[in-house]
Amino acid sequence: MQSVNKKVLKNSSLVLIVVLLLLAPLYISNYLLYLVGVILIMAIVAQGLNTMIGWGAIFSFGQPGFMAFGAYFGAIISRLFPMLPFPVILILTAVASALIGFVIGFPCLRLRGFFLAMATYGFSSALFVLINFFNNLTGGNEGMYVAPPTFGPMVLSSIESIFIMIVIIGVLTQFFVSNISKSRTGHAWRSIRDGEIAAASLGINIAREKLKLFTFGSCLGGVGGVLYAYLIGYLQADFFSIMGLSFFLILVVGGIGTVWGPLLGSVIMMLIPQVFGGLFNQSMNLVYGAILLIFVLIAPNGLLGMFGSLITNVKSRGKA
Amino acid sequence: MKNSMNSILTLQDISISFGGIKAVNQLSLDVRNQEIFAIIGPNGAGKTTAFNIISGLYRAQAGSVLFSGTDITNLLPHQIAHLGMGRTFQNLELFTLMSVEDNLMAARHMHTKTNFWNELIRNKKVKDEEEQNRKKVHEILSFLNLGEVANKKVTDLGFPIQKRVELGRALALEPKLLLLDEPAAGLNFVETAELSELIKSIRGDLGITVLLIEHDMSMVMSISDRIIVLDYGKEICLGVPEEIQNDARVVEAYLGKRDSHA
Amino acid sequence: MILELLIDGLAVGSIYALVSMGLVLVFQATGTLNFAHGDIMMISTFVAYALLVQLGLPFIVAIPVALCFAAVVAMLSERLVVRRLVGGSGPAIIMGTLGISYILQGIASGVWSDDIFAFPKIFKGNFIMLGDIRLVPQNIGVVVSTIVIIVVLHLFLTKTKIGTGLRALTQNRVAASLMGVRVTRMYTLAWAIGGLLAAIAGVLLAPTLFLSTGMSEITFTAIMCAIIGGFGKIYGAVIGGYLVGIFSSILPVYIPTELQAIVPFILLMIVLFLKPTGLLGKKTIKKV
Repeated sequence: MQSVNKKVLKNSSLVLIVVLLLLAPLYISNYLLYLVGVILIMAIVAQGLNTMIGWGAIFSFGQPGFMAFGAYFGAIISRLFPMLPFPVILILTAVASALIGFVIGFPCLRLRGFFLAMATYGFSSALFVLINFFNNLTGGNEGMYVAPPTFGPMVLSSIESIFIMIVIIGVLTQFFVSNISKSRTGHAWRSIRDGEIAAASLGINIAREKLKLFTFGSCLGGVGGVLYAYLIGYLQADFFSIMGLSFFLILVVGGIGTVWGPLLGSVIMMLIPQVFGGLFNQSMNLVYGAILLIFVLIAPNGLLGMFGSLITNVKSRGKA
Repeated sequence: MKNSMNSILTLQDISISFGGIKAVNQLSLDVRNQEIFAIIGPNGAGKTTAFNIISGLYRAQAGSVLFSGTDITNLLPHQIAHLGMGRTFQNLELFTLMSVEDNLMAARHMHTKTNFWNELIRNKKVKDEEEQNRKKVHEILSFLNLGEVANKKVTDLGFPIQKRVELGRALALEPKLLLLDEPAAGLNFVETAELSELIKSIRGDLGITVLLIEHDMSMVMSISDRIIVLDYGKEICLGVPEEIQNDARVVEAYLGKRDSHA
Repeated sequence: MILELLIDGLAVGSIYALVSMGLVLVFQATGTLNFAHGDIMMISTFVAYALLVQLGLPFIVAIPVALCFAAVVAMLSERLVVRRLVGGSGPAIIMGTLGISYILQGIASGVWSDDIFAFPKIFKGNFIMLGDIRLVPQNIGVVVSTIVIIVVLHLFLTKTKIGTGLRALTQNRVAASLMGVRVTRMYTLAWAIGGLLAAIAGVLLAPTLFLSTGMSEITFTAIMCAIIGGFGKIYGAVIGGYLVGIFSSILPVYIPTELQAIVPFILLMIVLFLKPTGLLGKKTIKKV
């Protein structure tokens, strides 16, 4: 009975948050909309990396690359085919990013640990070089403007409409990931993280599941990228190449391998520059590095992990 | 000599060597349906290596392995698992960050038919199947007396319990053949006696053929139908427990050259 | 022309070789890939710069002080961070050294800013003409110093008691400790040597490339060199370093310069798909 009540409470508070977010354009400023939009996008991309690292032990430096790919792919096809409505562009980008993830993952996932990390890093950095190289398509170093999303005759150039789109995709991402985590595939992915040999002995096709996972994570990276392109309206490869550490920080702070960690981590990581920016303007890296170290050393399961263990401790004490 | 209709696993002259050392040397054996079959021998006799060949972790350099009528010599571990073979490991290979229940749920992988797209939206089909799997998992947990620790993290449990969880995970596969690599190692006298009963009931009640590697001689002698003794990767002798106990070659293999584990 | 580029490539390759060797030494001893390796190099080169240019001290004082600084930073990283994470999850170690990397970056940006600085030349003088080939003293100096350092390191690892202890450790941790090797002390030593090698590479590289906080990006190229050579093999790192150095110097003649940056990556991919363990690497089997 109690657990049913808890579930109802949890679900209704989630619905409330989603409604508040969807109505946000009515009561917050455009600057805040932009900020919350970026937080949600970072959470979507980080969620992709979260599933890779937290479930499959696939340590990837590739996520900024997949995000950049999604952003440029979406921007380029919406310029080449201006009549395409934004849901189509979104789906095309998701499919293309997944495909790139598949193509990159297929050879790279034969490698493991540090080797895999370096191969994915190589993919990212090679992509940034290529973006600047094909400057007739991407604007190269000068960057490119992104045409506002359209839907039939409507041009959704206002930040409000783009924001709502981001909220919808963000909610879908959380929904999908939380579903997968409970399912057969989620169990398979986590068992690969904890022991590949044992997982194989249970009939789990490691190579296939890892590729599936990598493709899924890349797809989220790409989707986050195209949303980012729409939100800021202008692209440069450097935007993405400097994101290297951000996603790791988000995950470590929020809690690797948890469904809600990436969102929590994104919120906190976006607030940090607002808090410390004035104090450390030249040396923000120092702040980020210190936060990363503190969490890795003291709270490796992140904030959610910390709360989680606090709650279970209190519970077991209550029983005793 | 061999009754292939009645045998579930057949090794024919399998050999493997690592760096010039023959770990398994022209080994042949035949495990019959619903039998408890033990592999014994001194340390380094090639027992675990043979297990790893059977379950597909290593590929035999010569010879072939037949499992319920299929040639599995060149199959991968997960393909062999799909044919109905479960195993445990000498040094526990549990999923340490997961709960006991989730460890067993992971083993329901091949008995779950839903696809990725259904799982994304978590439709009724997915939920129903998950419910069935959970029921099966809890059946196995209570069969192993693990019902109380279902939601505990594996790392919070003692070693003997962890060993039973690993056994449970292999059973959740609903295998036809169960490979147990030193199931009694690290268990005390009482726990070993419980394990003996458990293995008998796995065969008797669940109808699963058991192939085990074990150093605990009293247990091996009391539960096994047949025993093979290996040394230097080769068969020394094969027979029912009484024959093994009275065979001079076995005594020599154990006492003549190396320390005994019996 | 090609020969001159080849010598350029040898000079660049020497730097990569030095940085990769340090990385591999640390990896062998503690099983950790040090993502802060390039940052240790960068910040100690800045220290050398501060002593040489800002304080006007001679090379003979500035360089040893900078090298000691690098060794100390490396040892502190090992003691304070890495030692607590070894044996835990792989991601935790990667993130731990990434954390050190960003802290060093932040400190350097805070103290010296992200501008570009000209670093005084160690090997001065005019071109030396060898037939038609024009030799730059800096390049020759870099190559010769690197070879000397490789030889010294080789002698240290094979001929001295501490060196053999270190090698024993890299082959079998348990056996080494049974043989009386003070394992934790060796960990620290490996990191100190790694730091030294990085700092040497830094002061050799800075005169040709300029000095900036961005210098630390060499970590990733050096890791690729080490993997190409077969990770875990010190001499593999040397081979990988020179291969990458030579290819990145010669290939831009045939491909657009903008694409030069991806040469190490392409090389890495080719080697890994031909031989997933790298050129000198061996296959390992996990026991169960």
